Amino acid sequence: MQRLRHSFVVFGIVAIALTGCGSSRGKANAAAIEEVPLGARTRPAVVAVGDRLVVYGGMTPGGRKTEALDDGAVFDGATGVWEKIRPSPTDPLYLPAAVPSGDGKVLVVGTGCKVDQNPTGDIPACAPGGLEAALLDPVSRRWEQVVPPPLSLGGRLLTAAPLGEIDGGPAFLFNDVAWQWGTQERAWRKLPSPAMNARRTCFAGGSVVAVGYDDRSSARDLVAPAPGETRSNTQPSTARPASLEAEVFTAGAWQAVSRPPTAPEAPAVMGLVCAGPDVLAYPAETGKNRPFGFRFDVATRAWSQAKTPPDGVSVEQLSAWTGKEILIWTASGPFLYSPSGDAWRHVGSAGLEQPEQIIWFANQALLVYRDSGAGDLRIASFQPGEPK
Amino acid sequence: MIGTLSGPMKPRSRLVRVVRCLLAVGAGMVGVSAAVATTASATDMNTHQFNLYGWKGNAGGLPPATEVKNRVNASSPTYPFVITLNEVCSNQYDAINADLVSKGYTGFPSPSILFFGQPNCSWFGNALFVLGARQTDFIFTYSAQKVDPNNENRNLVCAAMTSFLTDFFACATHLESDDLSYSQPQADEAIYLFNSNYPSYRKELGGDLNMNSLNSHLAGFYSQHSEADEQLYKRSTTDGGVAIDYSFASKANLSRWQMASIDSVSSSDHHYYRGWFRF
Repeated sequence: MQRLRHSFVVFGIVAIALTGCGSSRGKANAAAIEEVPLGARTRPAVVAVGDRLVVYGGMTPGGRKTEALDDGAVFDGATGVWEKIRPSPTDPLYLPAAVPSGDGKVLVVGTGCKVDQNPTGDIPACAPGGLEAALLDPVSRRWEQVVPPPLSLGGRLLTAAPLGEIDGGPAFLFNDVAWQWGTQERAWRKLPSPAMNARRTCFAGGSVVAVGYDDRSSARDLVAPAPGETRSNTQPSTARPASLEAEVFTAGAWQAVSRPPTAPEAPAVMGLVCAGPDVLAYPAETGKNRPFGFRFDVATRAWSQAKTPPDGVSVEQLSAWTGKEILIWTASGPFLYSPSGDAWRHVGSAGLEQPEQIIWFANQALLVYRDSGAGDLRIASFQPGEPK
Repeated sequence: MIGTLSGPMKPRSRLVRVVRCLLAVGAGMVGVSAAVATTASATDMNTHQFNLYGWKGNAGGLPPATEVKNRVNASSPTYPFVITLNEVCSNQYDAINADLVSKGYTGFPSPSILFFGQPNCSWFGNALFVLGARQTDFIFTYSAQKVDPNNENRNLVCAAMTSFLTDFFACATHLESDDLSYSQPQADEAIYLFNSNYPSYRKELGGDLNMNSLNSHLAGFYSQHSEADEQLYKRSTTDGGVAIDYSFASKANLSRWQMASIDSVSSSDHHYYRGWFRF
């Protein structure tokens, strides 16, 4: 790990005033990681497997026409060296997702997007359009194309999102449906749907967790008017409980969990963060009289009351588990929540802006950015410092 | 689903539907039309219009939502009366709404793709935020809809509001892109509904209309309303150099007192568009 830290040399990619940003207790520390040897892009798949960090694909930044990329690079944490990987055997993938496959490899999945057939529209229309998948060995940097999940939405956009590795196989969400690749069986299986109407399906505590709540803001629009029809705003103005609920996918089935003993009052929207061993659920509305939130410990299947988050924490979902705390990067900078102490703390951003992605790797948070100028990919490391 | 996909409608059926919409909304204003507040001295107000590039450019990520929150917060204590947003993902709407509710705004999400089902983007479309308390609101799905595999249905969302200063009627819309055979009839319907409803209220309509200011189908807007920028020399509102974002306010009781502020932002291919009006 020491060698990795040494490799985090400032190459002038990020203009951060590092002077004085030592790793003293309670003080955040930031540095730019060695320049990623890849061209301009946004939203690549970034995943850590062992002491290697894999960056694959992404989209060219800017412009209406969606252009997916199929190259990538691997960072060796032991040597501190980036090495490029050859293009994947798949078509370039739209918003690729990657999860460790449990055997030292990484499974990359996405929608084949050689051409965007809707170059001026709001939503891309990728061709050929179906899901494609490939395994990458980050050591040999060799690809192996594998069968994709047998899923099609008849031309509608399919987007893959990583969940995590469960029971020895990587799991993904395709739109709202969870699938798992069986590393031994070398076949896909669809996870059953939870009994509840899940607001979010995420990965925490080594399990796939579905979390739901009955909100009073966006839900009103789920009653769609017919063309030309008018309808009243049915948004209730009075407070009502949030009706938090959760289910955990375990041993091939969803297991319902008892609800929190008390419910917070009147959250219009809740912030939901899945990181490390926990799911955090808290009212997203900021301002006075913000009620407390809840913490769901996946291992014990128990809800507990969690301290009201500071005002800067809203619906942000950029989070990472540091081993002790949940790091949440908001528009107001980084916040940390300690499940053991039920305590929030706001730390300095060390000059870093809100990233596109956060990944915890080698005892530091790696923040993935698209440079606002040329759109180059840049990665900065961030150490939040120990609590005082 | 918001309605069904259809091609351009026959004039008669379109008129019937628009009138039906008008009647339904008009019913909500009985008893309130005389309640228009007047102020003794001029009051300045500003409007914000922003196409977030929410999915295609940000995949539901929060940077453009943060842009909106920061712009609104920076305008304190003179918050914009109306904020009209296009290409918004549900996640971005939630982030903006959570911040604006405490400032006295009411939010009106208006999905053009109701069940988009993407990560961070369960729905996608327009949003309207207005200072004050809601009297009534409606979403009108345009008759002319281009066939789209994601079932995107272009719409107009409007709300009649009671604010601390005056009664107000505000709308947001996003018309079809790069196909005037759809966007022009959509503009016709938007104009009809915006002009006909709540005639005595102060009004503002903002949106990405996807056509230039000299298009004859915008004449109905320009004849009765002030636009935030100069019609003949309207400045670009996008990275691509086209002027397609608008903020119209009713001429009868609002006037432009300063040319629009148009700021390029890194999170979107549209610029952040602010109008300045006085009543």
